[in-house]
Amino acid sequence: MPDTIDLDGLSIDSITPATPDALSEIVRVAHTTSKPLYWVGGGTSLDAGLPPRKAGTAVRITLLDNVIDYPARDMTITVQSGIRISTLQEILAKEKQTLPLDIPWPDKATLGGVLACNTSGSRRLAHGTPRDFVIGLTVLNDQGRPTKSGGRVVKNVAGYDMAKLHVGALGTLGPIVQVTLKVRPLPPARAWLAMPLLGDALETACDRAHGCQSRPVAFDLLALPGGPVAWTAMIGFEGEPDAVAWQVSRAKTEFSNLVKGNIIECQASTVDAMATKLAERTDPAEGVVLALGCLPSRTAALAARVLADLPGAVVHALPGSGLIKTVTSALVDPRPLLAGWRQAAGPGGWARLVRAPRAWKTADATWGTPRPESTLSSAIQRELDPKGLFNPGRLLHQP
Amino acid sequence: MTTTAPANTQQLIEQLLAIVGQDGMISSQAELLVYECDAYTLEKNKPDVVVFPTSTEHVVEIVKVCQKLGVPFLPRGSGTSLAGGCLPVGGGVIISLARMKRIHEVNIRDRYALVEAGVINVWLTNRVKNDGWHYAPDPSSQGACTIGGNVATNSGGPHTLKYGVTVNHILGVEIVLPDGTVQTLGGPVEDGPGLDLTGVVVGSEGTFGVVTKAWVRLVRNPESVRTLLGVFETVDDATATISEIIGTGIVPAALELLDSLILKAVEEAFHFGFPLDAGAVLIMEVDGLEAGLENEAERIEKLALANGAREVRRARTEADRLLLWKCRKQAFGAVGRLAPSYCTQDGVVPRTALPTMLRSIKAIGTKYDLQIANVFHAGDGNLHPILLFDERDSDQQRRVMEASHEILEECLRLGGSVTGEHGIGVEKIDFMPKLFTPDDLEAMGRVRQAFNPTGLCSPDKMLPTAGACAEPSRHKHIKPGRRAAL
Repeated sequence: MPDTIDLDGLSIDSITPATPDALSEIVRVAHTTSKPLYWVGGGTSLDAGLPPRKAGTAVRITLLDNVIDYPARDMTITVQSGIRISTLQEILAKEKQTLPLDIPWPDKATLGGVLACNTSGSRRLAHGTPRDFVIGLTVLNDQGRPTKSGGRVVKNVAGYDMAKLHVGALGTLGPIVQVTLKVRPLPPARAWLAMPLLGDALETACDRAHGCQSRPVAFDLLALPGGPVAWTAMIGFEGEPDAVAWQVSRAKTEFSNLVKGNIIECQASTVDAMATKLAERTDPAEGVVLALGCLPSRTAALAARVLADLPGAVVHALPGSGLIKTVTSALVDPRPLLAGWRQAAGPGGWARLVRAPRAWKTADATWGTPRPESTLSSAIQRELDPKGLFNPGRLLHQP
Repeated sequence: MTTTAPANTQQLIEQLLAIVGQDGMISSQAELLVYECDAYTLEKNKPDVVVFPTSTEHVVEIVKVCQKLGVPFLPRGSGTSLAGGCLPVGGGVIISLARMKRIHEVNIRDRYALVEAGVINVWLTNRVKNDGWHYAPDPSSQGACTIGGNVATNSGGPHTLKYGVTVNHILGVEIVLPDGTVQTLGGPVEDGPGLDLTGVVVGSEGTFGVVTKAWVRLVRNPESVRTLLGVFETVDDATATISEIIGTGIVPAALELLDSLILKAVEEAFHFGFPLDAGAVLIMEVDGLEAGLENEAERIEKLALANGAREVRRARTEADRLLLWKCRKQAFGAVGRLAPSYCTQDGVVPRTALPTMLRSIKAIGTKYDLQIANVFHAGDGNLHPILLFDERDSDQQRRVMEASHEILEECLRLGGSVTGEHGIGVEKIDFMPKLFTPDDLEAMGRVRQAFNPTGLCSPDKMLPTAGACAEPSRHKHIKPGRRAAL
């Protein structure tokens, strides 16, 4: 019997194929019936993009979770896309390796979902985003047949890099079924410092992180309601033990005159999951979530404005990447703020509603004014999914 | 051969002249010879005309003229590519970006620069080095190749082992689409909405349009560097060391292997003091904060010695280090001392398959009675066997082609690829059906169709046919230069 699933306000039946062939068959049938399919991984980002409007079937890609090949000495791994992030990390950790993306709710989130949503976190400053780790990708085409790009070697320019299109496409170009990743060695040492900032130190702290002698792998700003200070800066280091120890000591000196009270060195037991925990702060199941992007140099001012506009909200900013996420009460409609935030974000900047009541998630609130290149994106979608079967209407302003 | 009828050519030249002027065009047969190939010289074909736009507006007008007259066109940077990526297969117009070489903006605080496509790779690093920053992708040809060309082929380089290839450093591009529309894709603000079109344009070998500008990531210089030279009796010992280093969790900034044949040429050219009786040397570089770096260097040194290195030398001064890198990066130039012509291959294998692959290359050299030198990005498993020959001898040319194909076939058999950083171009187009299924190629063809529906932009590159949705390639089975060569 099929389960039903609430897909960002649309209640539809779901099925869970147990093999890649079964998934292919589902797509083949949809191609014949022209009935849309909505891909579901761990269900942690079901509200990514525009709410679905066409009835269809949710397809849970969670049973396709095998490891196909893990030549650890080559530092690559090939897995099916339904593998949970925590499972993947456990497998890699046995070989002292890791995928250094900071994914919220790793026990639930699947690799395929992470790629489709292009999820990343604090350490993107040093390691990049999902696009930087995918070296091979297999998706199903609109007729259910597997198509691959890339390969299993870390360097490869044969053929178009189709994976770049699929990462962040919200599944609109086809379901991801198999992925080859390049992975990194687990750093032998890690440390995080929490630095409660003086009231006027936000901008200076960001500038200092940009030019400091230490080389942080993460630099985050966090505003939590009810805390002793408005903003806490979190700085992360990883690498050789000597290098980490030196950086911790150096950072304590470099930031000392910006801190109210003491710099707190996080306990070893919490360091491992620190970046994940930070990501989860702005990824709760409840509440309204918004995201903003701007140039790194504008982040402090924009984050301060978000907090001023939404008193009591949680705000998490990555000043090195110019990204801000905020979560506020479900009782506050933040849509009137978006236009002002977009302007404050400057050229190329953006502000969008990520998680909110369905009625609030209009195309403008979710994606902003369509950019000129969206015609090209639409043309690619039409080419790869001519019948509009795959997650229709979620990524772009579509009919 | 050319697909442009003479009458059309005259019309074409007149219309292009109106855009770029006499100074911005080459159409005499003698001068066009320079543009009949890139650094891959086994296949050649002259364009009908070469134009040198100085602005995006020029490129737009040129592309519109080509579309109106139905003439194929393709972009070209410095022509240092090694797979015929800017070979004008069907004749037509080469759009040289060589005169679009302005660095428009350098923004250290926001970690990016905006450059025109014709900016030479190393110029950007030279511009920002005094601030302690650099542009990370560093192909060996970085003193000559353009950033636009790097975008086209998704170029690598020795330091991409740690820092990533071109696509990891491109934030956005301005592209003139084949219909003459100018589009800005991506940009310095990260995670904008929509598909990652920048990501798929990088490495598309000029088949999606003409990239005119790029926003590129700037990277802080490491605080310290240690450069070591491992001297090995055999190539096998050197490749085993590579596996050990990576396997222990060290990510060096670079790991480059030079075999005895290339060492001879390089030593003659640069007098570095390489031991000429060594089977291979490994350049091993680690960088990062000074704290802890010496430890890492010592671990590498021990691993090399444990795997049979005869000795491990250190670059003691920055001058030493620069000379060592000069030897590595200009090794191809030194090959002229070994033979009048050479053909460089670009296969990739999983790192752990390097010993097997190098033994195969040796056997293939023996089988075809060819000398093959090796200098390559060992840490990435990206091989550059250099097949030496004399292009005046057609039998040698034939053997070079057959041996090249056999090497690449072996890379595939070992689970690798036929190109790590040089591109498919025209040279490896026959391998695409071996790497990819018809469904894979059709999906790629559909994406090209979205960018380049008339197929006039860089025809007959990358995909073996013009794609499922367009008419089949008019030039199928025609290998202009290869016919000439054989």
